[in-house]
Order: sequence, then structure tokens, then C-alpha cells
Amino acid sequence: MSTAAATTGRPRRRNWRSALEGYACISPWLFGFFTLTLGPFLASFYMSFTEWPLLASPRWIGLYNYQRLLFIDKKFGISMFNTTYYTVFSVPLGLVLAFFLAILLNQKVHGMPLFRTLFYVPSVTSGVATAILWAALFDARFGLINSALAAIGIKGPIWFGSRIWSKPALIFMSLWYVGGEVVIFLAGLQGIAQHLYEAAEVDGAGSWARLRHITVPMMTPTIFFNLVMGILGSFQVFTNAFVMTNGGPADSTLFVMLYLYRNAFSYFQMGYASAMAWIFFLVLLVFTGVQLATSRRWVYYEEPAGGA
Amino acid sequence: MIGQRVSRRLVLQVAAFGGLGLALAACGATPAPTTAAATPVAAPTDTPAPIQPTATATAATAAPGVAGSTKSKITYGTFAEASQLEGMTKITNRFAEVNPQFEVEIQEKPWGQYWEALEVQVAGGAPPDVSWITPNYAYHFFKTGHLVDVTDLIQKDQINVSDYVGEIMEAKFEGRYYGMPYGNGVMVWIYNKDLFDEAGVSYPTQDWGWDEFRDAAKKLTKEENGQKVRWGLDMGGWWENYAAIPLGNGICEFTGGVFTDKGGYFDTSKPIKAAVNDPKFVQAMTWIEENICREGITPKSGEVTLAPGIETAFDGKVVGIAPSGSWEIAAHRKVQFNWDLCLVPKCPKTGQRRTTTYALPHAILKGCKNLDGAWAFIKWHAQQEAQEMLAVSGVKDPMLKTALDKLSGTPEHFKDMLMEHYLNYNWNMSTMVFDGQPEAEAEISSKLDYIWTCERKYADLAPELEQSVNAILEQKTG
Amino acid sequence: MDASTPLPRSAPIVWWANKWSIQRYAARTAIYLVLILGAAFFSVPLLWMVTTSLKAPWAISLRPPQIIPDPVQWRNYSDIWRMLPFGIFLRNTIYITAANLILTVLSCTLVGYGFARLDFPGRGLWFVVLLATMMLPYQVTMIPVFMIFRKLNWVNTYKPLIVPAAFGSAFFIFLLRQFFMTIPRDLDDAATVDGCGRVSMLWRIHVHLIKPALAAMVVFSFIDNWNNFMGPLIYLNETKKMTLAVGLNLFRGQNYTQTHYLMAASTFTLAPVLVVFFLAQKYFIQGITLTGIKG
Repeated sequence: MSTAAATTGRPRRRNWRSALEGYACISPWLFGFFTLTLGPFLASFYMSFTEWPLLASPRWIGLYNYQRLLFIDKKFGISMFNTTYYTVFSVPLGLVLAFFLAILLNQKVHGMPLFRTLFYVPSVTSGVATAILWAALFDARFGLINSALAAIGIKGPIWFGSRIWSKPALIFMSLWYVGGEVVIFLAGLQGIAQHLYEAAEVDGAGSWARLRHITVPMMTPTIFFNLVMGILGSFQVFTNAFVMTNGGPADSTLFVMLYLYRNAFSYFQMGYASAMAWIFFLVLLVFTGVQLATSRRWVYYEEPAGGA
Repeated sequence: MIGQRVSRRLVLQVAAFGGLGLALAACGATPAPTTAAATPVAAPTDTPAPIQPTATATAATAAPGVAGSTKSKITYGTFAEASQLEGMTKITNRFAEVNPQFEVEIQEKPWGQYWEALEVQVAGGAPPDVSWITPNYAYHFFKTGHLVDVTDLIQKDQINVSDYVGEIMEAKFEGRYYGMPYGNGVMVWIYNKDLFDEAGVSYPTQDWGWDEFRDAAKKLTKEENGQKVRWGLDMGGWWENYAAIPLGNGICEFTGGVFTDKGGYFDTSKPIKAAVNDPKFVQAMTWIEENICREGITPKSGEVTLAPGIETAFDGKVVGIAPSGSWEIAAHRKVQFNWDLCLVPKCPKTGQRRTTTYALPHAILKGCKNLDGAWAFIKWHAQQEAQEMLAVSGVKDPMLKTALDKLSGTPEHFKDMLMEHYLNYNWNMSTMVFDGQPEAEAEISSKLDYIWTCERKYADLAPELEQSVNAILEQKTG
Repeated sequence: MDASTPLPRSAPIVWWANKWSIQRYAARTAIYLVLILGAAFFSVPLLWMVTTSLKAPWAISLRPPQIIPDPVQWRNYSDIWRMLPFGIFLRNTIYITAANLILTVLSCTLVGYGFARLDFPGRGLWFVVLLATMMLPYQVTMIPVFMIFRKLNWVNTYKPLIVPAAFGSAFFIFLLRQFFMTIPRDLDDAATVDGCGRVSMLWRIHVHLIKPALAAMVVFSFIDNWNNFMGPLIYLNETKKMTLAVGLNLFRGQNYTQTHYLMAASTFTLAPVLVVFFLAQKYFIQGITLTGIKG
């Protein structure tokens, strides 16, 4: 396990010191975890077994919230479906686009810092500020998108007035926000040793081969990061639905976070919302766990006994 | 030994920035004293000349004033929008002037997240003393005991409830009062005179009914190159409030509903049940549905894609007639076309007209450490001087009937029409009076989307809707 | 070898070199084309924000939408300063952001290194816990956390917004851990042989090797804190303590939104972010030439 132990042949003392150093390093996070995170987590877990009208005391009701969520409440099922649908499409599309953009933006070309900034801008503009932009772009009659479609002979739908097209519209909007992933990919690209490329070129490898055999494998740690965070972020989609569609039309953009928010602050059912949060948490935990476990197979770290 | 050196260094590092963090935070706790917030400068709007304090300024209910010594503080939570802040601050400053033993700290938060923040503060034990309360949230605060009962104070100070539009119904729960009136708003109908002229339609008169509205709207609807560019009648962004309720009331034979005895979705005779399948309600909704789907004079949901709460079809010249709030009049005044208020059609049987009001009272939150101050505050804001200042400022319409005359900045006949709305029309107050209303309304709203997109007919949907809404109501009250 | 040098066309090798230059030129043009198209696509939100911030209020809802504001209302920008104390908001935001930045960089580097490089029992478990802390929606922990801070009497101060940064952020810890793990172990062994302790190794060697990731973290942390809305909303009550992100939302009202002012305030708030991003790039992106050689 520890290479240090393997090389020195004095395992016990080394492990003890290594353990101490390790815990010392992560102690800031551990302290924060025990003081600010663990307590509230446990509190919300307890709340999920209560009926808590937020402004009054909670009342224990056992598993009723969970029963309601899993077997009775149709809207929860709808919200999970909507969220999954959104994630399944926006994450892969976003990753591929971000990767492609990162390579594009890594070229040494005049004015590149300006280009990079322009590509990054959307991801820092707030959802509220851009709501009118999206309304104008997706306008059924005058918006750019339907005009572009009309130019190639397709009659565009009423995007935010249709149960079928509202999610695709939001997925398309999500592509504007890949700037963050691009930055991380760019950082990752910096770390690829140049001599690898030079050696490959000497061997006669073309651009495509270099991409496949050097860039992508060396980028797997950052790809893994963006994949995990992409799924986490995508599952928590909220702002655009909250500002633009309010879950409509006909609950087609009712995402889990939106439904949770409503239950907590509009319906004053914080207990129910907590139960929802914990189911959501478990789903994400399982997803992420699977990703972590399978990551050993494809993520390449420069370590002999690598991996999580 | 190296190991030991490293460990100590490590410990020092960890301690160092822990300390750094606390030090920075300590500095942050006391920012350099600044001059108070927004010194009101006359913004380039249409606010009129300074107010003359009226002679009937009420005597402040001052505790034996120890003027000049430490003032007792009142924290005041509000979701006033930036342009309203100036007007509001003027009123609050005047209160502090008249009651020098009190000092007011305004805690303003943006409307979109006001309730989230307030709920966290209340649940977390650190609420403001006084807050703006919208009726639909007030109920829950009342139910969980977070509003202070001021009925006895009202009686003691001999405040006459009928001086106010609505008789403080917006703050009345189970027979007792939990707030004092402050501001109000009412739903009005407006029309675009230029578009009427272009289509050659004469302006709406006092005698118009819904059929005349529909005919006019048909003439106003216009197409260009196969694309609809204009609709005659808009139902507004808030379909439920605007569409069903006044319309149902306009047809005027539908009564019963959540809003005490006015029209709506619900039947108030206990236990609460949905009235969405009541024949008269179905008739009202079908009329709207026909406008959208059969006649094409009202846009389908999303057909004019607008950012909700931000853009309006009327200002964009996309519709000829639309409902609007009296608070939006200031915004509409900036448009570049001619427009006017028109009256809601009257009830054929009774001759009355009906609309909806949106009251905004002040309430004292439990946990308030300065009850005297808070009561003095909310009482003063409901009295003549404050209400007149409110009317003039345009922040909200006043609640005090005798202050209505001071509604300013409007063409004279607007003021008259608004006064008539408040004094002579019947209206619903958007008030929440039972548990489960938000969920039930959300269910209705999402199902109504099928109607606004013309996917289904209301007559078919009504029975299903009745069932699902009743299921929600049973679950909540059962 | 560049395209302007005249070359004899007599030898096959020379011909190949010439062709390769043209190829490079074509590739460069193609890249520019894609960049310009892409930049146009991605800068639409920014353009829209800026043009809307210069519109008169009644022009905002027009359909078809007005692309170039007419009239151009520059005074929107001066109006917003008159209506709300943006100078104070700016100062507060800078303070909170700077404090968070320092603490975040220090703590996340240390903790990320611990997870990446140091072997301690339970490391895998704690890492999963770390990731798990990002999975529970904040709405359900907001109130218990608020209660903790209220007990400490930290409500209406900056402390709840700054002190947690000293404990690291899961996102950045995860990020840096990934990057630390790309550094070859041999380096560690070599340093150990030279008498360097594991932790001083971190600050003397490792951080320099992951500079791009550190720079990315600085940029992200700056932006997160600059735009942070929920924290200031809940913990700061007085106007004089408010930040830009909360302040600009005051242009959204219960019944209507002053969009032109909202956009002007948003543009004003966004500008420093873009400047920081633009300037920070040279610290972490060097770019490669078309041949793959770092410039």
C-alpha cells in the first residue's frame, strides 16, 4: 500500500508518522466537518422522519414521508424523471463540448486570452440576468433559434409552451455554461508533458492519434473530476427552471431541487423536503460510488498503486 | 529529527491560518462606520413636490420620552424594490422624527428570496421585529403562532377598523387581528389606445360586457405573413388570479371559494373542497379556453415567450387589452404609446363589478423585544400622515380611505377610477385561509397548463382536476 | 521554418516542407474561424446583458426584440448608483472575497495534498465522506447551520461567510487532489532522499507543479465569493453590510422588475470578474503552438 513502507522496511513507525501527518493535513477539513457539517446533516436526517412546518416544532411520524415520496407522490416521481432526463443529456454533451473547446482554446493564437474570456462569460452571468435573454432567443415567433430553424425549413416548436420541448430547450441552454469545465480541462492540458507529444511526432503520429493516445489518457483525472461534478451539478439544476418556467408547462420542468424548495419554503413541509433530500442524497451517493469504483479501470494517475 | 520538525511546523501552519481566519473574521464583524444608507436624492422620476405634513398629524404614543438618550431599536424587514426604497425610507424617517425615542433599522431583502430568508431567520430564532406580510404567507405565520395578536391594542387605541379599505381583513384570522394595514394594490384592466385606433375599434365604455371585450379583441388580433403578431386580449402572467377569479366574478353567478365569500376555485363551506367542477366555474374557464384555442385572440402559453415577472406583453405592444396591477401603472406610464384604464364588465344581475386586491399589511413577529416600539411603528404607518405620504410616493396604494385622495402622479381620472375600485367594487383579497392551499393551487396551475396550450378541453379536465385537488385537500386536513 | 522564406522546389524534402507550411496556415485559419463563430455564440449572453442595460424600460418587452437599444440610455448606470449604495456593496464584496480567497487557497491545498499523497488509515472513507458532503441539498441544512451561527452570535456579521473557508471546500479539495495525483511518486522519493519532509515537500515542490490547478482554483473561488448570494442574504441584515450580489437583486420587486437597472447592475458586478479571469490566464495557461510545442 504505502510505497514508503515498501522502500524503507520499517513499516510500523513510518505508518504511525504517516498517519499523523495525513490526519494533520486534513485536520482543517475534519474540524469543519465535525463542527459545521455533521450536526446539520444529522439534524436534517432526523427531520426527515418528522412533520416539520418550519415555524413550529417537528412531530415524529416515522417513515411516512418516505412512503409518501416513494409510493404516493406522483410529482416526486415526475421530478426524478425530469432531473434524470436532463442529466443524461446535458452531462455528456457538456463534457464533449468542453473538451473540444479546451483543446481549441489551448492553441497559441493571437488574442486567445480574449477568446477564452468570451467563452467563459456565460457561466458567470447569473440565471436571473439571462432569463430575458433566453426568453428572447427561444421566442416562438421571433427568437433566433426558431428563425434559424425556419431558414432550413423546420417550423420550430413553442419551446416553453410545450411539455415535450421545454427540457430540450433547457438542455441546450446548459451548453452555454460549460466555461467552468473548460477551465478545468485547460488546467489539465497544461500538465501534459510536452516530451510525450514530441516523441509521438517523431514516431510519425498524426494529430488524431496524438489526441487518442496521449491527450485523452493523460486527461483522465480531470475528465473524471468533470464527470463527477457534472453529474452532481446537473442533478441539482434549479435556477433556470425557477426563474423561467416555474416547473411548467404541466410539470415538465419540475426538477427535484425545485420541488424540494417548494415543499420547504412554500408549503412549509420541511420534514417532507428533508426526506426528499435524503433520497436524492442516496441516489447521488450510489451514482458517485459506482463512478469511483469503476474509475480505477480508466483513470490514469502517475502512481504505481493508483486510484481512489 | 526531521519528522519532529515537520510535525511542529505542520501544527504551526494549521494553527496559523486558523488564527488568521478568526482574525479576518473579527475584523469583518465591525466594518468601518459608514454614513447611513441611501441618502434620498430626487431620482429623475415623476415624484411631485415635497409633502406638507397635515395638521391632523397624530400624537405619537410616546413612552415618557427620554429624548436624546439611547434609542430603542426597531428592526423592520421589507422586500421593497430599489425604486420603492426611497419613498419608504422617507416615511420611516418621518416616523423616527415624530418618535425620537425610537430608531429604525431597515432590513431589506430582494422579493424573490424574502420568504426563504425570513423563514430561516424565524425558524432560527433571529427574526426582525416588524415585517411586511403578504396575506398568503401570513396565514402560516399566524397558524404557528409567530404573529403578535394586536386586537387588544387596536381596541385600546380606539382604532376604527372601517376606516380602512377591506377593514383589515387581510390581517384577520379566526376573528382576531394580527397586523395593521399599510399598502394595497388592485387589479385593473388597461388597453392600448393606439392599437384600438389602428383597428378602428371604439374605446371600452361603462356598459361593456365580456362579449364586447371579445368582439373588440377579435378585431385587434392581427396576422402578418402567416404569423400572428398581435393578440386582442391577454390574460396576464398570473392565469389563476387574473383569469379565473375576476372572470368568474364577472359572470357573477359563481360564488363560494377560498377568498371568504368571493369566487375562486374552492368551496368554503367546511370541509374545504375544490369547486373547479362547478358548472359556473367551468363556464368561466371555457370562455377563456375558447379565447385561446377557438378564437385565437389570446396567446397560447409560451407563444409570446416572455421572462416571467420581468416582461409584459402589453408593454411590448403584443396585446391590446390586458389585466394589470395598480402598482404597475408607474411602469406602464413610461411606454411610448397611448393607453388607458377600462372598467371590468359589470355583473348583469347585480350591476356590481368585481376585481382582486393585494393587500400588504405590517405585522409584528413573535420574539420582538420592543413591543411598544413595534406597535407604535405599525400604528403610525396606518395613520393619516403616513398613508398620505405612501399615496404620494407611489410605493403602494394607501389602505386608509381618507388618504386615497392623495394618489398622485396619475392622470386625474386614473385616481378617480382607482378610488372607485377600492371603495365601490367588490373584490377578492388574495388571502390564504387554510392548510394545503399552495399545494392545491400548484396542482391546479400545472393541470391548467394543458388548457393554456390547447392540448385539452377544460370541460373534460374539470372532473379529474376536482378529484386530484380534493385528494390533496383531504390529505392535508384529514 | 516559416512560410515567407522562399524555398527551392527542386527536392522532394523541400516540397514536403513547403506543403507543411501551407497546411499550417490553413489550420490556423480554420481555428480562427471556429473561434470566432464559437465566441459569437458564447458571447450572446454578455452582449444581451449589455444592450439591455442601455435600453429604456419600455423597450425591453418589445417583440420582435430590439437588438440595438434605441434610445441608448447611458444614465441607467448613474441611476443605479444613486438608488443604492453600490460603492459600499463593492467594498464589502471585495473584503469578503479576499478573505475567503486566502483561507481557501491555504486550506484546500493542504487538505487536497493530504488526500492525494499521504497514506493514513481511513483515507478512502474520508474521501467518500468529502464527496458526500456535496450531495445533500443545502436547503435542508440551512436552518440547523443558521442556528449554530446564531448560538455563536455571528448573525449579522461577516463571520459565517468567512470562517468556513478556513475549513476548505469539498469541490476544491477534490480538484487539487486529482491534480496532486498526477505528479510522479519518484519525485517524492527523490525529495525524501534529499532530506525533505513530506509536508515541506508540498509547499516547496508540489504546489509549483500544479500551478494551473491553483490558478483555476483562485479564479473559481474569486467568482464564487463575488457572486455568492445565499450566504449574505441570510446572514447580513443591514444594508451597509450588503454585497453586490444581493444588492443588485433589489431591482427585482414583488410585482415588477426594473430590468434595465438590473442589467446595468449585473454588468457592473460582472466586470471585475471578467477582468480577473482575463488577467489570471497567463498564470495558468500557456497554450501550445500548432506543432504541439509549448511557446
